[in-house]
Amino acid sequence: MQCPGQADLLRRLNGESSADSDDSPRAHAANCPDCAAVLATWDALGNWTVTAPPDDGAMVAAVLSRAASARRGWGAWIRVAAVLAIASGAGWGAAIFTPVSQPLSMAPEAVDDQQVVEALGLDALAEPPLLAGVIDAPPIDSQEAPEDNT
Amino acid sequence: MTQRDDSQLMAQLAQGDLQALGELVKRHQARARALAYRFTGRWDAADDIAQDAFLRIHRAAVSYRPTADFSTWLYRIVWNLCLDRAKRPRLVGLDESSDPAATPDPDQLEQEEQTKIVQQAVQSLPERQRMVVLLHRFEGLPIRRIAAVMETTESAVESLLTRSYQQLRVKLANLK
Repeated sequence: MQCPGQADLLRRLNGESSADSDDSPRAHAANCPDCAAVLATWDALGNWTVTAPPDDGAMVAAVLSRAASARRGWGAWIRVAAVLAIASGAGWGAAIFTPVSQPLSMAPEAVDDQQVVEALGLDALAEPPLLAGVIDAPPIDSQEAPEDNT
Repeated sequence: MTQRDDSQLMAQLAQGDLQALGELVKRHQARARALAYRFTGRWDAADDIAQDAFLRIHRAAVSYRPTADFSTWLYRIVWNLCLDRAKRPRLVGLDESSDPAATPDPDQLEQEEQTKIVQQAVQSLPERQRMVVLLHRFEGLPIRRIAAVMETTESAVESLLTRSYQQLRVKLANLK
């Protein structure tokens, strides 16, 4: 009997039909050591039974809860985005279409230093003797260095 | 009342019907949990993976086209989530399915011991080999569908399967 090969044997063990042979994979394995080993491994794997812990609808509840909160989350973001879009559109429209009745007053091009001093009330401080030494003092570079007597 | 098939439920879910999602979870959660458990060895991880899989299905419902079997698509999502999980640091230990307070029955103990050996042997396989064995031996998927789940060719699946059985043969040699 010709060996169909391990891949083909595994297909047949899983119920997939084989085109070239209709004999039982177990009957073939009885005379083929390689396929017998595959069959033994297949049977050994069958020992692994799994019993899931009781669920009691917890999975359904958890999935539906998370799905609903995800939907609410998107809905909230969409509402916030819509409000922001409307508000910014309204602000832009108001800025564009509101008529300006008179030009804004501009600062004078040239400002007299004396006007600033008077406006800030500093003119009183500038009178002697309070700032006399400061205002009338010569520039620092023009001052003579103290004489070295050593 | 006729039972709605999976693609009808997906169409309803795409229109916002969360009851359709609940029905899909009821129908398919057992296979999603079992596959994820066999891959990870932990029920807490398996439950997380199954939940995430159904939430991905919920998110993708609008763009879902029933070109392939729904369960193939579900298995593919579970497989991708299992791969993501495998990249994280491993949790130590496997879940113990036996009840320590129960009276030890020699036959039961032997069965549990065999289960543990098989579980450890399968979980020692590299990820792709492990998933191929799980889908083939425990989920009963034909090679063609396994290739669709893992987005590869049938010959690649056959190659993975043959290599897996060669490794398992050594590890399970002493098992009855």
